[in-house]
Amino acid sequence: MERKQIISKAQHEPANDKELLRSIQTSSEQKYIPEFSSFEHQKENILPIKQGRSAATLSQIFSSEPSARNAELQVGNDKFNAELENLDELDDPFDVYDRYIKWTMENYPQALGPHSRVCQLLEVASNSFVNDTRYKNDPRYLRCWLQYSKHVGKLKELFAFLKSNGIGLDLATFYEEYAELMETMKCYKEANEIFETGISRRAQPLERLNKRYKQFLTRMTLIGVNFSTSAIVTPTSQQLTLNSRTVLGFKSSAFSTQSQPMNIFHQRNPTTVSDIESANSQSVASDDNGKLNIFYDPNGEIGNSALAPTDGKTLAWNNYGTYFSRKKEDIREAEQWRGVTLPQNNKVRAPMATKLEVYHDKSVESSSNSSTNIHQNTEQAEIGSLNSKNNCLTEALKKLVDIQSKPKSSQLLQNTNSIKPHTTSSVSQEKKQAKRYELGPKEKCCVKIDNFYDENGEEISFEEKRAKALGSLERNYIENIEKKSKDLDKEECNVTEYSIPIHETSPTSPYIEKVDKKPSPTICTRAALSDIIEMFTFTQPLKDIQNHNSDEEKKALNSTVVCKTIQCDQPLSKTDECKINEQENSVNNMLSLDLINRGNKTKSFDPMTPIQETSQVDYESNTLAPPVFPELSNPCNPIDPKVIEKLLAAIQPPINHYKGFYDGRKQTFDNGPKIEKIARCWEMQSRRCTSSVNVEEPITFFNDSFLIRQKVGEGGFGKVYLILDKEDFAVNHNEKKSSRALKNETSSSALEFYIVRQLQERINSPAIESIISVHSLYCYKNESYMVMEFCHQGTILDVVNQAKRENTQLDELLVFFFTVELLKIIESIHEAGIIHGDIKADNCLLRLEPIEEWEMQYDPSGANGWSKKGIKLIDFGRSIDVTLFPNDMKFIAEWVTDDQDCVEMREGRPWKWQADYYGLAGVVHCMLHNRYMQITPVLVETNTFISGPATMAVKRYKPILSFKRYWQGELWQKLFDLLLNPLLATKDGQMPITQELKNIREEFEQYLIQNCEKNGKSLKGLLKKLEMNR
Amino acid sequence: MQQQQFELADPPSDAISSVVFSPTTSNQLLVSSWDKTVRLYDIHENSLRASFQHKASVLDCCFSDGAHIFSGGLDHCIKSFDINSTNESIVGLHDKAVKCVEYSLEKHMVVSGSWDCTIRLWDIRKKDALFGQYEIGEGAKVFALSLVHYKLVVATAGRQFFIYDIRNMSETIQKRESSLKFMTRCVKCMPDRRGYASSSIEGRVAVEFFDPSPEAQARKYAFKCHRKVIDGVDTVYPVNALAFHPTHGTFASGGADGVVNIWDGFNKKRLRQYPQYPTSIASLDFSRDGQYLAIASSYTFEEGEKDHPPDSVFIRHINENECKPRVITSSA
Repeated sequence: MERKQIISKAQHEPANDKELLRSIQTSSEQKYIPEFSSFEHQKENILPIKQGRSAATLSQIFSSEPSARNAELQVGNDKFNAELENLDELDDPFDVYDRYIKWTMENYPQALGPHSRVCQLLEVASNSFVNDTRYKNDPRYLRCWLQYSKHVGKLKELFAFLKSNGIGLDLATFYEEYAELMETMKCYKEANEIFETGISRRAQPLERLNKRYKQFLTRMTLIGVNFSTSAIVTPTSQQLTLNSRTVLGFKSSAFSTQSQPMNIFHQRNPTTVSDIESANSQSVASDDNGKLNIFYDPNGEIGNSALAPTDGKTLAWNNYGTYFSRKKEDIREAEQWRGVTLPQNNKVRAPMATKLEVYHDKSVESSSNSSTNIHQNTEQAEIGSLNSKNNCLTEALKKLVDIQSKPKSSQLLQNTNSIKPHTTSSVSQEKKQAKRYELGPKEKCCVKIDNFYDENGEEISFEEKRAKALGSLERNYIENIEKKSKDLDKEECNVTEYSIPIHETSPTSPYIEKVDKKPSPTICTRAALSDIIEMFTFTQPLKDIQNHNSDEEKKALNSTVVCKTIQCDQPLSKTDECKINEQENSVNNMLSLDLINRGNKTKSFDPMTPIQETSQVDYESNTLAPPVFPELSNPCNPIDPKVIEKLLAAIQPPINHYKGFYDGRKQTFDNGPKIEKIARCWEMQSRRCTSSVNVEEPITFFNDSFLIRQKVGEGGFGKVYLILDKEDFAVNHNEKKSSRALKNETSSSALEFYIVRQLQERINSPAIESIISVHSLYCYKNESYMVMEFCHQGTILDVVNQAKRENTQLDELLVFFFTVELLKIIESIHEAGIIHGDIKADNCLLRLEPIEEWEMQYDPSGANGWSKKGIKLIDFGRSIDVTLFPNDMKFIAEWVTDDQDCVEMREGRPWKWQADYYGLAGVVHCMLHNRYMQITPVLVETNTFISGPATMAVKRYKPILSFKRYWQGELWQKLFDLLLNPLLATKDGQMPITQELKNIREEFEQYLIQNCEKNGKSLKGLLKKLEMNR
Repeated sequence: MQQQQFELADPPSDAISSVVFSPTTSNQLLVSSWDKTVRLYDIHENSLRASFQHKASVLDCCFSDGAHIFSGGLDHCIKSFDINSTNESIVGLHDKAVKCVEYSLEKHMVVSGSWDCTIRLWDIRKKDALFGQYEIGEGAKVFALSLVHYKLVVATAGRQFFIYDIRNMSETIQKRESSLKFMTRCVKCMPDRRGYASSSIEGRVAVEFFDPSPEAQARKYAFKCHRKVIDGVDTVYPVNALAFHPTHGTFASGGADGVVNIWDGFNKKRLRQYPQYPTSIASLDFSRDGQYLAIASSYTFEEGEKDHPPDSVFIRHINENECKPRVITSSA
């Protein structure tokens, strides 16, 4: 009874709706006709609906203010929500939803897709009444489902769900929509069956369904689909076809290929269960064969819930689920990504077989026989090999050339013309020009092929190229050999002799030749060598000027002349002051005078006064032109090789006049790998030697031989080895005494050598002891070798690391001591106008020299043996000689900065002296905490520091780690504050702050004097212990 | 168990130009180098047995018998050394650097090729050793030469090949243009005297035959090798070295990519590819019994002066079947 009522209602409902709509429309029409232009701009955003939209509503939506519109919508939503709350009390609860949906569709015209408001509403509405029998065949409810499916996608599954829940089974719409879906999926047979089922069920309105079915059948005949069995609508016929699986049937078991035509509309077929059971027994029976027992669910509770009985009690599939719950496999569950390896899309590798196949180069074959030459020629312009008899071929070629692309043709025509004479000589001439081939389009040669042709287009082999580069091609060996070969019988030919070529024409200028050691007892002394160097370095520019008259050489000449005049002008008193060592020859004398002159200049250099003034005065007094600074951008990157090159080129006297500088800059030298190898062998030897590289083979630079021992350090720019000075070693046989450090830089750099030499000149205090001394620099074109003194006691970093390993910390007293030492060093190098630029714990070597008389009481002046203990600063590879730059020069770091670089560097601001202060703070921090320093800004009011109108807050930096309570926190804090905020140390932010450093150092020294022996431990004892461990 | 491969101790201190095994024993290996030295190694003991000095870089060396060696280099001269007595003498001079030296067992002569565009033959039994001097042609600097029996193949600049009979050097038997489009790097004759293989700086190897008949010439071919695809670009490396296996007739090729391949020239198959060596392969040689392959891994300065791994010589033990053609076909 109820159903009938609903059906009747359903039949009436659309009419009512239409009337309603019409009434609304007419009423609104009466009021006003909305302008299309009022919502035209939004027309793309309006989702069309089947029944059309009210223009009035649309114009209202898009003409009103968004805020007002929102308020209106809110009112509407609230109204419906209130109604929904009282749903249970209503006769027709779905009606509320229906109206709500309609209202939402009207008012949210943009809505589309599963995320839209309408869709969510449809979802709620449709899912709420799945089990409500009142609405099983309510067209509104079915429409609601169908609309929902439009949002989430028309799914076969949805229809299956509706079917299993008996929704809309008496409505023609259901069958029409379902069949349409199947038809679009090209499942015509299924579509046909659906229509038949619907008609057999007499779904309403039957007329329309029949009409649609007929239309469907005509469409089917048009595309040539024939349903042989379904000519007459016989509901039973299709249900009895057992061999084909019907759309609503199910597979009876995993084994059977046929499916049960079990329709939901036909009450459960009792045979089904028995079928299932028999199938089950089959599977059990087959178990005897040891096959897997497949799980089977005879009651269909799990697998076939959709087809389970709909008798209300055991309705298995009663929830279609929301869009999102159904899509849950698509959504990746949130999980931890740490440690997860993401799958990589690996390229499929080509099978090995093809790789092994030898590529057969066809063009090679074609070049061999003349008949295929045309092809070759047109492509490669290789005309030279054409047979001269082939007159007709040249004709053909000409024709071909015309067809060829135009840029090519002109060149080719020339070639064909030149063939015409057919003289062999011209052909061979032609050959040379035509020989150059080009690589394939997607090929690249690792070698620059053009490099291996000379200006005449002739080939040069790798060996020739290298020989040329070495200059060995030009050398005249033959004369020597011929001379020698005469006396060969008498003399062994182990005397190597070179004629040193001075080619006027050759572009390679002569360089200092290495003079090989002869096995005679005469020792090649430094003096002798310097004589030779003198010969070359001083005659060369003169000669060059004669030859080239180039400006640069002129300058160089001028400068040497000027140097000489200085030498004459120098008052003797100055030289007395500076304690010059007696020099062996006049050249050195002159040089050193000039150096001293520089030294004097920098000695008078006061850190608090502008540099430029003093230097200008100095230069003027020396009747020299004001210093010409190389043109550099300000700020500049001080470690840029180009900048360094410019600087070193500008220094006077030139670097190669420095003592201990061996100039091989025009020579390449490749002993790096060899040294590395020997060092590696030494390391292996200390364990167990397997390789037998001659570890005692000396490495010779110019005239000095060294024995390589082990590698002691390696940085970004070079490697440091422990070596023995062979001569020294031969004399004293003491490894320790003759050991040196060899720093091999793979990109030749003379900067460090220059800096250290300058420091040695400029610093006159005992602090010079704390700077590594450099013996010599062998500077080659590609690499440089610097021989320095070797300190075997390791670095501060080693000490810290050792303490760390032992889970202890450096005693505060020691840190005090080293801090004072470091402060002294930095003060003195800054006074000398040099920024170290790379102060860190691994660049501070321990300098704990053995000493006999050493007092317990600390003495800051270095008396009583305390001067023998301290630190040696190394690695001036990043150092900056500020006297080479204009006074206002600032620097900027163009390298990747880290916590060990000062704040200015990290923030990309220009810096100058800060680098060293920060570096020092870093070392002290490292000693105190066993950890690298990290800093944090603190905001401090300014007025206490900067007098002036500006009262902005200023950042002050401090280390993150705080000091231990038993430390001298106050002193440390003061030090760090000074070092990290040097600009705030003085009132006008002047730099360098050497005076402030001095003050704080004195405080530290006072503390050390008072506390060097306390609580049973003494500074001396601690240092001794450290010395013992090293 | 013998090691598959080992590195020679005491390698030359500069680029290696050539490695050559002794014709009599398989344990002696001669290595010439740019460091002006020719070194003789005993590979069984992995030790340096002797070294001989030139006045400039040595570009090639060879054995005559087990006791005498010859070498030539940038100092234009060809020197001979006696291994046992360590005596040395100058055989003769070229006008320019000597690129190649070979010894002819049949004629007891040393053949040398130089950048002065001549081939010179030296009768080492005589005091005045120069036997003959033969101009090849204008601009035909000798880049490589190889000798088998009486046949001498000379590869010169300008991609030319000259084939001589050393019994009658006044006549060129054949003059050919290289099958490869780029500069020749190496040429080696097949041990069965049928032809030769040559390689170019553009990652290709050509196999050619002496027989001038069209059928024989039709069998010649070339193939690409020593290439690597880097960023989608086929990067081509020079093929610096070739060496024929003395018994199997297969050959090894070594490129600037540091790779050594073993090829079966008759079946056009690659037999092996050895793991990459630290740097360019400068020279290769099989020992006369075919048991060892000497591989000189040494930068060949194709890209000018640059940082490169140390120069070293690897000795590879060749297993019985390692260099055997897989399918033996008699394509005489």
